[in-house]
Amino acid sequence: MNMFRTNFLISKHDDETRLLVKEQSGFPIHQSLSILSGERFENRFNLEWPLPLKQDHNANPFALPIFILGSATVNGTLCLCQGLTTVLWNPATAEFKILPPSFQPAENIDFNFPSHGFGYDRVTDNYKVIRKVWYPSVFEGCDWVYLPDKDDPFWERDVHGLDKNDGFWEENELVVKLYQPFWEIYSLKSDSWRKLHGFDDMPVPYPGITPTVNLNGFCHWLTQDLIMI
Amino acid sequence: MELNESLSVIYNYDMTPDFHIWVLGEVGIKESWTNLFVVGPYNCSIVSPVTVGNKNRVFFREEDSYDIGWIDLSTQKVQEIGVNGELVCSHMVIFKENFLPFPRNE
Repeated sequence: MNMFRTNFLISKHDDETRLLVKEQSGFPIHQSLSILSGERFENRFNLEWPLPLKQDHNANPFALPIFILGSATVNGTLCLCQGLTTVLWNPATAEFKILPPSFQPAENIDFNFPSHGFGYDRVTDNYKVIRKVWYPSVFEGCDWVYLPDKDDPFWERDVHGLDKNDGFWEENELVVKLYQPFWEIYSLKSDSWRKLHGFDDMPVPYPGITPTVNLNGFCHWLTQDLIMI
Repeated sequence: MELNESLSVIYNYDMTPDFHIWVLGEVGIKESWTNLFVVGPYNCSIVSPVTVGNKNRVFFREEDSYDIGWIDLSTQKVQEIGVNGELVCSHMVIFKENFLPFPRNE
């Protein structure tokens, strides 16, 4: 076993290790990105965020945190997620691609969702991004938020103790009806999303919280039940 | 985390100071998980570890201080890297440069 361990530690790479670090502070949040290099990581090089995510954080108190998906760049490419915006970005060339919205249940409205993982498919030379989506099945006009009328009995009811399955919510149309949630996958080459069948029970990784690994075209993550996917 | 191109996990049972590193031999084969190293003792909480090949270092973020550190698997020593002033490290990934453009349809 000792021999195996020693051999295991002999590297298959010979390049210099560099770390890309995202640091964040305070409110309004300030977030920066830097590359650390050198034997003791004493060299620090600050990077600008790519254009679609660029913002004056000091001026915008509502700037959302930016998440980096995965554990490593894949062929030099990062997948960044801020709110509902997902961007593939190569910092070396400054090339970026904003992912389009996907399946459209209603005309003229773009539904978008955060992404959960990405990888590179070397067989087809293509980047792919996956996410789980919860589309509303009914969408009318611009009624994003439904509020009952002023004199509706709704306002007299104490709702704090109500179970989420209580019929009250449905009667008052306060439940947004959803399609059965499903996973979908984006392909950079076709610049489109398609539905994945048969993965409905797959646990969802949370950016910045769930340990995720990009390796050999796979995107692995650790679930809350500590099952490696 | 990745360890020399293999999928691996590092954790300590019941918050003991010894950390176990398990490596997966083959994806999809549950029986191929091997407990390859026990390192420590360390009195830190390891969060979001990442590694990269040639220096056998496991980088991690300390749960409480948000500092970044690394364990050298050959010497089992822990080193720390300071972070910038008030900022705290919230995420780190291994960075490798590549100047190729994004793939496109022919």
